[in-house]
Amino acid sequence: MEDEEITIRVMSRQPNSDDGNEVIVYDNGTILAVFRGSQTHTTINAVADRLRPMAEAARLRGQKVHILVDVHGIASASITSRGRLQARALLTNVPFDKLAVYGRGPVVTLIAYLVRRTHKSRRAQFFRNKEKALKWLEKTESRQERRASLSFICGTSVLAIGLLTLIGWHINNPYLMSWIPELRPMNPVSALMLVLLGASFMTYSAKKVTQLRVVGWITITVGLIALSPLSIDTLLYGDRVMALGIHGQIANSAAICFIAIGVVALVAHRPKLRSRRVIQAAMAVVIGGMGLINVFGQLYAYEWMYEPGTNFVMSFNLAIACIVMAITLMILIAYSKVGINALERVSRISLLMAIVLILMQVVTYAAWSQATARNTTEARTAFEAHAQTIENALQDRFTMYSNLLYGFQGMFLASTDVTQGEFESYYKSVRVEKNYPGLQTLSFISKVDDKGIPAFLQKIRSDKSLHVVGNPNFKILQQSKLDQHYVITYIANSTSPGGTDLGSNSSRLLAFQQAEVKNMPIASGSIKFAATTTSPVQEGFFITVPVAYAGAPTKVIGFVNAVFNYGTFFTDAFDASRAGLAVNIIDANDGKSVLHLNNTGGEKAIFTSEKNINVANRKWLATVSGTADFAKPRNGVPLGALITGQIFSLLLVIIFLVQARGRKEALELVDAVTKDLQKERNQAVASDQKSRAILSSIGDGVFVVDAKGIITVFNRAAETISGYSADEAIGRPYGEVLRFESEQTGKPNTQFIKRALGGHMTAVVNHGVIVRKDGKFIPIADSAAPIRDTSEAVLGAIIVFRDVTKEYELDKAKSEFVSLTSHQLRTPLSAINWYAEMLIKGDAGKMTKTQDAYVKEIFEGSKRMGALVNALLDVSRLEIDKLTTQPEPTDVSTIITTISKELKVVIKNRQQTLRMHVSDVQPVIADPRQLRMIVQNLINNAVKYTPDKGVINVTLRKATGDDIAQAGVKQEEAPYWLFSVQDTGYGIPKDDQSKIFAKLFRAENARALNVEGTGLGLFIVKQVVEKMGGHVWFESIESVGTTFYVVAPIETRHTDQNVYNKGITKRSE
Amino acid sequence: MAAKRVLIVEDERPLAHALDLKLKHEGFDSVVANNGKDGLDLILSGDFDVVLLDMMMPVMDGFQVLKELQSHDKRPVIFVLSNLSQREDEARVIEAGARKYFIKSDTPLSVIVEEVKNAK
Repeated sequence: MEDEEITIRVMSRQPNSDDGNEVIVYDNGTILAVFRGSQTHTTINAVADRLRPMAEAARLRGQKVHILVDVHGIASASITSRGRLQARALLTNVPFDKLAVYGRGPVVTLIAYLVRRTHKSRRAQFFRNKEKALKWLEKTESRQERRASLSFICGTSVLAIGLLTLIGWHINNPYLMSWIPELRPMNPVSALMLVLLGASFMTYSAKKVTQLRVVGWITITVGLIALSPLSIDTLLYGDRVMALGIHGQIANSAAICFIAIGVVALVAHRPKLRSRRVIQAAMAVVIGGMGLINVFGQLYAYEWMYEPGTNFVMSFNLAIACIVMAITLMILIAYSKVGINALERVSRISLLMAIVLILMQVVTYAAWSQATARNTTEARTAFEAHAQTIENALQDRFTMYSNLLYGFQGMFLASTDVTQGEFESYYKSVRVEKNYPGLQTLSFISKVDDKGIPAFLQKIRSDKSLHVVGNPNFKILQQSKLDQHYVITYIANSTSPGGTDLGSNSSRLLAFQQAEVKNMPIASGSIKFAATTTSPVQEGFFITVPVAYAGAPTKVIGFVNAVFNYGTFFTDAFDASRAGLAVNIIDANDGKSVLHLNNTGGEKAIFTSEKNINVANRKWLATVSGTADFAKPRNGVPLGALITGQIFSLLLVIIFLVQARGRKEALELVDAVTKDLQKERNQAVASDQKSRAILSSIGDGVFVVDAKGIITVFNRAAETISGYSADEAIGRPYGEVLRFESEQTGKPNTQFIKRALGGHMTAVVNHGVIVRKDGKFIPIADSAAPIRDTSEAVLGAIIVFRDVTKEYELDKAKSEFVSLTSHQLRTPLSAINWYAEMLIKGDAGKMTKTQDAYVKEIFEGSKRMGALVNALLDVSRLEIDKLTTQPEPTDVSTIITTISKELKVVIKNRQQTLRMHVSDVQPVIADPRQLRMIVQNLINNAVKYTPDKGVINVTLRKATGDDIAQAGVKQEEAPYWLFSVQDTGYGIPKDDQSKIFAKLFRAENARALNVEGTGLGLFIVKQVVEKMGGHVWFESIESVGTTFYVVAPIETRHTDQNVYNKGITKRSE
Repeated sequence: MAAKRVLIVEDERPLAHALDLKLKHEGFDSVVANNGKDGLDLILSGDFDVVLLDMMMPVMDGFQVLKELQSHDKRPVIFVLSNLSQREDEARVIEAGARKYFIKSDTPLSVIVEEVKNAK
């Protein structure tokens, strides 16, 4: 019964600084999306991007997703067609349970149209004002109402239970009073309390607390009175309640529950009372516990619950009402803490659980009662068998005694003159005590009329068959006034003299008369035996058989009488010590108790069998009862079923709790993850803005494509260079927007982007031109790099490109300068060379020896100068190589052949041997002139630095894996080639080896030997080889020789960097 | 057999003179033109066996001369002598009809004489 003021708080607010749109999340789960001003697909997309995770998170938390869209601030005609598409996507992709749109005008019409298209129209509504929209959203969803509805449901059920019980009392219907008629009914005062409680819960759900308080006090008072010696149990229907005795009263457990409920009602809605939750929880446990104990106690063991003298057990229906109240209370307490709607949190799984639990209980009860019923049936069968045994025993006993009497009758019939001695000896012969237990006395009664008395007396007195002196004192005692006398003549095994006229006793007389008339054994009614010294007055009966001689009418001379004591008649007839057995036999004729055997020990008999035993013309009513003891030896299946059922129920509860715990943890995790995501998202947005700012400020064009090549980012410089705006570019395949072309071929040149999307990085190189939107060609340098996620999957590529028009012009100028400079330097050199040559040849007449030597020095110097100019030219070209490299398939072996031919004369002059080991290598794709630089410099060096008669080995072959490993180059796509030049030259001194590739460096021994050289050759080789992606190294031992190795890829890295050469050449002429 | 007629088209007078001297010394009938235009005119009017053609010249450069000559059936053997050393130049020149390309500073006169001698 907990309730708190609900205020909708803003949980998070995400303004979008770009467009003024805002997404606000309230703590009741409602997400408000506010659109302001002009909307484009981008701004709508941005809002959708923020909505989607929130809605999904709410879904995950099990909350309803309520979205309020405020389009109030949208300038009406500002949504573009793409914006409309985006809005539709928003409606389709963002999960929601309810969508309220607030605003007016064509925008709303548009959204209404879109909503219809997305088949979610029933979940969307349109409102003019915000309040109505919010009200609709919260209509069935407010926590208050849900909580109230829970109270209402509880109140209704409790009220119904109470009211039905009262009606039951009124019309005296046991089903309404106690539901299960065998169980005790609910006390009408308790029922009234339930009505009051139910009504107050219902009014409480309408936020009326006073009633609840009043009823709380009443309930507590009633509970206390019920527990006290005072009694209000009989306030209603007093007589009938009284008639029920203890079962009509308000049970103690019910009273305790009332007090607990009263306490709950009193502490409800007292937010200041801090411990209220604890109190309520404790009370809920008390109420629920009492309810459960009573329900289970009565279902499974109500005999125990009805232990005489206790008034603990409450009625079944009251117990159910208590459980309902306890569950309601527990739900409210448990979930009000979480701050989430109570009923919402009673998730499907708990509902399912409850249903399964109830089913489990029903099944358990069914199994239990089935097994119990079977046991009861078996017990009944056992009992009935036992009862039959008892009946049979009684019947047998009558038959047995009748036979005994017939025996004596026979004796008397056989002889008219049976003496006392004969009687006695016959009695002994049948061994009565052994064979006929329970027999008190056996006697012969003579029937004598008044006239026959003297003869009869004479005869008895003179009978000396047993006593030597006869029976001189025999006389008739208590002689009746009737004319017929029934005188005890012989009493077997007795010292009693007999002589009593039994006719004086009416019940005896009746028996004799009946026996005489019917001529069959007749049992007498109850007779009393006179007290003896050993026993008090006892009751019993006798069976008599007439001794009648045949004739018409028959002549009855007497009766043989067997007298029995009720207490001993049934001795050994059946197992009278059987536990749980009660046998009650009464004489139906006179109502006297024949036998009262009770072994029940006070337990209630559950089986009863009534039999009429009709023997010897007498009716006895035998009532045999059995207690549960007859069921005791039966199997333990019911208990097993009960225990199994409850264990399963318990397991289910445990599973549910574990599940609930797991769910709670999962929810917490989801919350945490959502928060993290939110945070990350905020950070991402911040960093995104930062990135955008950075991207905008970058002078280079930058664009990003996703894995499908769709442009996702397009910066300002990219806009400037390409002439396309970001809006035009983003969302389209890059190929549609940006035309990268090879200037020479005019073919699209996007290999580098494809490579990047394939996961390879392409360093900054010149690839070609970009065709601007206006058709103008812009020379660019570009690079592309793959974008990978943490799992290394390629998400896209980032492409950086730069307008290299200025560099291009600069490089062009440099190139022209170098060209012109070298040209200008060469012209005077040519003049010197040629005139010196003519002088040396003697074209201008024969010179003196000295003149000749001098001119030769000039000639050599000039030639060196020429070589130097060439080398410098190469170096400067390498430094502006990007404009000059022009790879094409080139046969390296041809270059080697050419070079060796050029050097043929020198080699011959120096008597050197040049050995070629050229194997078939596929054409290398590289700039032929650069290749030539490599070959020329290395072979030339070998020749220069090898003494006369030395040997030079030139090798060209495919590079092996070892070569590649030794070169330390990364093997990429293409295979590698190896070129080596081995000489038997002077070698490179160890100290100089590390510097040998440095620009203008010459080894010490080389300089000492006065071998001409520029110090640029190896520098050039190294530069060229490395630009090709290869490696050059050497092995050298001074005075033994040097081997230079070059390993480079067959296909040099940048195969299409062939752009500007043509243009530059044109301009440089 | 009459001596081969060689036209030297070269604006650098010392170089033109050196070539003229050498060729005459070697017994060729050599004529010098100091720019491309003169050279072209002489080629078109005269009967030359070999032309030694410079590239960078005033009035008309060597490449233009080659271009002009491309449409003519009867052409002398043309050797280009230049101090431009870019490979593209050589390729362009050969394409335009020159037989060979020599970098002057790297080429001894003897080689040129040899080429002229062998030219057919």
